[in-house]
Amino acid sequence: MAARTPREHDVALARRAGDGDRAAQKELFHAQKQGVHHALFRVLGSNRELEDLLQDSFVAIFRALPSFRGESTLARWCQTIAMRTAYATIAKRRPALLELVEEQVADATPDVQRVMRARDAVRRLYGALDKIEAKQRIAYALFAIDGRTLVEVAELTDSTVLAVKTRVWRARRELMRRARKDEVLTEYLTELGGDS
Amino acid sequence: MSNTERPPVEPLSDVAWSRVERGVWTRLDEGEDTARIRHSQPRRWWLVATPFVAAAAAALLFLVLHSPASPRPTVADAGPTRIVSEASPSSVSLGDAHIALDPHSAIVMN
Repeated sequence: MAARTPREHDVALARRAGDGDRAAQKELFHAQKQGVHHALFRVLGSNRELEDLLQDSFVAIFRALPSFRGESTLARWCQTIAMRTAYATIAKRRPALLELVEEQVADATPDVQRVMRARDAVRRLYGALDKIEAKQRIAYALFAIDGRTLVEVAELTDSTVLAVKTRVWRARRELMRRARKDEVLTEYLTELGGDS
Repeated sequence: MSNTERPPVEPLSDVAWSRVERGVWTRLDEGEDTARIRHSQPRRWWLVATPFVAAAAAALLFLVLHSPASPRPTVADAGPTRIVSEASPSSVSLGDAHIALDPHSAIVMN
């Protein structure tokens, strides 16, 4: 008997899990949880609201399993559904009021200072991302912050490459506008790039 | 990202993952129950509704068949109809048909 390809394994696992086989559902959950978490973390920027979103995403994934045909990998397919769930959540929520807290450590070494500065910049970045349109945020987070290709982002967001490119560009323009009076964020955005 | 490191993805604790996993199975089970209820509800509704619908239909049929017959329009058993015009032209309309007669003419309809 010939060994199954990863794609065939994906399809078989998805079918069993979709039929309600709890062992298969658990196998799928544990195989995909890191990938789904990674993608969602990039979009949200912290683990604060992530537990609910992970639950929503996996419930959506399990409910959609009968439609999985193996056209993409199971990992990509699961992350696409997670992005849809994230979009639905972000699009309907009100922008968070981000409290910027300056972290100061008197005796911090240059290395520690660098890490703290980077952490502060990331916090400012996600604070600014909270205020821009959800599709732009997701495209920018996956492309500019996570370093995925435009093609990959397009697949994950059910969009065309051109649409993703436009969203990234608009997000970056909006972020730069918001960062005009924020040196830390301006510097960080410049380092991040995001020119598609 | 060119000159800077990507911000790290903070891992979720095992406790948090357990909560997520438990929540997912609970919601899936609840969803299955809901789906089962949704499936069974229409069936039960039809079981109750079918005899009532059948009884109503039978009663309606009975009323229609046994009600006093309404007077039906009768067609007169008439002979041929003759229309004659005098010195001026005449016209007559019978349903959709419209007949125009010249002066001093006649038409016979069977």
